[in-house]
This record gives sequence, structure tokens and C-alpha cells, in this order.
Amino acid sequence: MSTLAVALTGNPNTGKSTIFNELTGARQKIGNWPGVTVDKKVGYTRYKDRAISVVDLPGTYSVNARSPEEKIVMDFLLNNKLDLVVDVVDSSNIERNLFLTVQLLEQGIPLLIDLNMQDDAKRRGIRIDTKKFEQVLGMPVVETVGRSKKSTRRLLDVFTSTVMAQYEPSNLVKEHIRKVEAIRANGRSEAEQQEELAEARYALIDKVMDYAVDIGNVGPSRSEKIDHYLANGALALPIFLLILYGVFQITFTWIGQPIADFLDDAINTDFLDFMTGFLTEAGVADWLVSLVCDGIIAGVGAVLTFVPLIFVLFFCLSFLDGTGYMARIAFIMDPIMRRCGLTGKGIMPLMMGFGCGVPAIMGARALDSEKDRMVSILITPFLTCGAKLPIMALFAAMFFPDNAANIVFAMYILGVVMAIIVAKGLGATMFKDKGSTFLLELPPYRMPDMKSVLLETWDKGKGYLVKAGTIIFAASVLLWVMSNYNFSGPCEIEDSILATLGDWMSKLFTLQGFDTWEAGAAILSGIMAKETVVATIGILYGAGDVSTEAEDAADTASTMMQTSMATAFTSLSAFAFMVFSQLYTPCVTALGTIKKEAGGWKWVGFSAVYQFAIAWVVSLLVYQVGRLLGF
Amino acid sequence: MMATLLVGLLLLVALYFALRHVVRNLREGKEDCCGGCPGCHGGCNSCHPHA
Repeated sequence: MSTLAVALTGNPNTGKSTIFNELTGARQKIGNWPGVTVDKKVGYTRYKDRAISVVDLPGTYSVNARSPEEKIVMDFLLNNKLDLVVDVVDSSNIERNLFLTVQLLEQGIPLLIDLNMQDDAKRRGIRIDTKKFEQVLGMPVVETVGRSKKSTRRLLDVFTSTVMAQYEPSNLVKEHIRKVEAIRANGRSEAEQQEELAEARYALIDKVMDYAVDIGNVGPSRSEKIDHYLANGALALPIFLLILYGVFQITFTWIGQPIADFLDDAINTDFLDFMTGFLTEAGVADWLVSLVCDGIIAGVGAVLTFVPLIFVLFFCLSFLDGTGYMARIAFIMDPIMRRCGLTGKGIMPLMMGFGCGVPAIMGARALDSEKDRMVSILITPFLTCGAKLPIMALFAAMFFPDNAANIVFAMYILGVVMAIIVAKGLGATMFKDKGSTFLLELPPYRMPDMKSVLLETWDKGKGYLVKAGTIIFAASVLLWVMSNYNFSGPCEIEDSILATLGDWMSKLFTLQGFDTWEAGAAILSGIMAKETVVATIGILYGAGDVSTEAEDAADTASTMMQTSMATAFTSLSAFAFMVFSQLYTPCVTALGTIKKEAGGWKWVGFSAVYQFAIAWVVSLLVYQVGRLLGF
Repeated sequence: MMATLLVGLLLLVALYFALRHVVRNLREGKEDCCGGCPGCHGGCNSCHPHA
């Protein structure tokens, strides 16, 4: 029997992804739709001996093919042979959701209408008569509450039945389709036609609402009551900062750091010890033992140690996103952003920058005004992406062990403050046109579905594991070669190519207190990928001469790194180094994305140079003022 | 000698696959940590704030 092809469509925030996760579990493939950076999720399941493939289409409010998502949804629905299209509707916001439903029906696409979030709807006094709903649209209707097994079974029962064949559009829908065709053929301008189409659609929606939906008056919803404190008024910003502070405590003090410490021991002591002994006993040449242990294990291991922190941070952010709180941050930040000439809408792509600068820079496309878009692109790299997190965690743990979470939190705040100051500066000088208006729908607060949160955490975090095994691995080999050879052949590390390059670079940082060639080399390598800063430090400070004192060196790799770093940095110069790393030139991939999104090499050059200059000045101020204050 | 050759070969193969991945990413404009977007539900779906 052939595989049943099902597509899930619907507005954003309708619980579509939760239903997709419930239906398919871990059996998912994530890729990109051709030609665009929009996620393509396909999952598989079996039910009643039928193989079912489910495509989770991007959430859209309409299918006017104006945005990449809308185009993807229309192209996919019209050009693929699908057995079933499920329109996931947020029952608590049914009137607005029906706009997409009506547009899909206009295309002649038979739909299974999934009235999701029934629990939220009932709480808000919305009663939907499903029988009448089926009659008025002529399409089958299923009621679900997102993450319940019963709801999933109900959907799967319909998928594997022949129920769709019994339905055809109601007379009301057929009449609407005729009206739409007449409007499209009336020869008026595109704008006039769109206005008439919207009127016709809302007229049909009104009829459906009158016939099948009863909206009672139950006063403010639970979300509105919570928003009274969390999204409005004087308490909103302090609560936001408190929540963020809690996330950092969880990540760097309570959960993430203990796991990172365990992994540090496992990789940089136990595994290194084992590999050194094993390779030496097997008779592997000394230089190759050194490459594997001093280069690859030290470099990749230094980065891998911090991956648990990245996963814990992403878990917390995914959890907050699942509750609906992340969307409120745009509102909370709106007054601050407005003072910088931007709108709260600009905070959405910026928030992506805490994960990775690349999607955040691309996300600026969603901003309407050219000014907002360019400013957003240029300030995003100031934020602490996941790849900078290992640098912060390493230095904070080593130089400020009692206040590690506070120091890293301060670095995140520094990134945000610098982004805001620079946005203000750019808005006042280079980009003076008016910003756009800001409209954003706030999803209701919900208890997040743990399965979705875990899957999302994995989706976000696994890229860092892939990077450790690919670019960091390759960079570690390159750095080992550069730190053991010069153009005459093998040499002492102080005479190596890396030492020469690092030495040139370090001359720029005499006033910042970190003018060692090792620090210069780490900064230079960080332009390749920010994690490489930690890999370089791991290689340069972490390992001894394994070829001569193999076991001793392996036993004490972590301790040796601490001792070497304590010699090279003071607490103040380490803090200045963290500040510089937080703010300086973006990585190569982010620069490539800036070229693509901002449209030219001049913006790449501008971004690379002005960020380096700002980082240089701020780290200089931190170090010199710190010295004056006696730190 | 044999052990050196074997480990060296293994490293070369691993390096080949690592570099191939890096070059492909560069050519296709992809970034592994694109999934790290708190506004999106996984993956590099950066054009829409919430999927």
C-alpha cells in the first residue's frame, strides 16, 4: 500500500508544530525548501498498517505569495499529489484563522479542518458547533487540544479513513468561489481587486461565525491577566531581566556548568590520557601523537566541553518560547528600541542572534523599512551567539569562578547595550529614514510541551556538535601545523607561523593588557569561527610536549591550561579579552551573510572594521579604567 | 610505522570529510548553527518569527 501524503498548514502559533511532533515523534527530517532558508520538516509514522508521511508547512496568515513562506505553501499545495491537507486552526482565535482557510478553499483544496486549542477556546468562552461548522463549509472537522494522545489518534483515524471522499464544498463556499472568480475577472486594478477579495472573504467568515460559533463574554483571559504584569507597566522590564538572570544561573551555575566540568574531566583528562597511552604504545610517531592529542583532542575537546552549556541555554530559551513569553519581549523592548529609532519588531531577528548571527541577519528581511533592516543587520553581531558562549564560559570559570554566571550575564547585557547604542548612532547618521509601524500577535500563555521543547533544543544545539566535528576539527589540525612549523620545517612553538602571526596581532592590544602572541593568535582564529578562539587557547595553553612526557602531560592538561592562562592574563586583562571577543569582527559566515543581505562588499568591510574598532576602544576603556580603579 | 600509517590515513579521511562539509556550507551559504534561533522552531527558518 502506498504512503499516505499529508500536509499540515495553518497560521503561525496554532500549535501546528506540536501536532507535527506528536504525529511523527523523532522520525523527522529537517532540510530547507529549495532556494530559500525556510525550514522544511518532513516526518513519518505508521498507523493501522498505513505508512504516513507528514509535511509541516511554514505558518502563514494568508497565501498571497508575498513572502517566501506564502509562496512555499501555495507551490507545495498546488504542485504536489497530496492525500490530505490539514488546516490547523487556533480555535481561540478562530475568526482570524479562517482567513487562510477561506483562501485555501478558494484554490479548490479539500481540507481537513483541525480545530486545535479547544481548551484555550473554551476558557475564552468560545463555543464551536462542529456539526454546523462542517455543514457551513462542507469540509470535515476534527477537534484537538494539541499534545493529547487522544487528539493524535483522532487525526490518524481520519487520515486512514475514506471520510474525505464524502465531503464537498458547501453551496455557501461554492457561491464564494464564483464571487472570487468574478472579482478576479472584473479588470479592476490589483489593489482594488485585493480590497474586494478581502471584503468577500470577511463576508463569508462572518456568515460562518454567525452560524457555527458562539462567543460568550467571560472577561479578560488568563493570558491577558498575566500580561498585565509580564508585558505591561513598570514591572515588565525588571521581570524580563530577572527571568534572563535565572536562565543564566541555570546554565552557568546550577545545571550546565557541572555537566561541562564532568565533560572537561572526561575529555581533557581521561580520554586524552587513554589516547596518549594507546597511540604511544601502538608505536605511532611522536609528531602524530602530538597532532592527535595536542592538536585535535585539545582543540575539539576545548569546544565540546562547553556544548552542554549551549544545550542548557537553548533548552531554557525553547521552554520560554513554548510558554509564549519570548513574543512578549518584543513589546517589552519596544519603548527602548523606539528611542533608538527602531521598533520592537526589530527585536525578533535580534533575539535570534543569541543563537546564531547568521539566521538573525537573514531574519532582518522580515523588517519592512530599509533603515530597520540595515541597522538590524549591522548590530546583530554584537550579541552573544552560541559560538561566543564557550569563550565567555571558559574565561568566566577560570578567572571568576565564584561569579561565573554574573560575569557571563554581564557580557550578554554588554552585547545588547552596545547593539542599542550603535543602533542609535547608525539611525542618527547613516540611516535616517522613518522606521516602520509595529504590529505583532501575542500567542496565549501555555505550558510548553516537553517533547517539542526537547526536539527544538536538539535542533538548535546539534549544529554546534557538527561544527566541532568539522570546522573546529579542521581548524585544530591547521592550528597545530601552524603552531609546530614555520617555513623552514618543524620548530619550537615560539618560532612557529602561528606565533609570528599572533605576535603581529598582539601589538594592537598592548593597551588592553592581553598582548601575548597566544591571545593575538586566538583573536585572529576567531574570525574563522568564534569557537576557534577556545580551540586555539586549548591547543596553545592546554597541552605540553606529549612526545617527551606523554602521560604526565595528559594527566595535567586541564591544570596546565589553567596555570598557563593565569600567567598570561590577569583577572582584568581576561575581562578585557572577554569584552573584545564579545564585540569584535563577526565570523566569516556571518560576514558572508552580511554581503548577501546588505548587498555588497562595502558592508562586509564596514562591519568588519567598525566592530573591530568598537571592540578595541571598549576593551581599552575597560582595562584602563579598571587599572585606575585598582583592579 | 604501520600504526603511524593507519592513524595518519584515518586522520586524512576524517579531514577530507570535514573539509568537504565546510566547503559545501560555504558554497551553499549554509551555517551549521543556524538552528540556534530562539524565535524559530528549529532549523534555519529565519524568515518567519514563529512557524
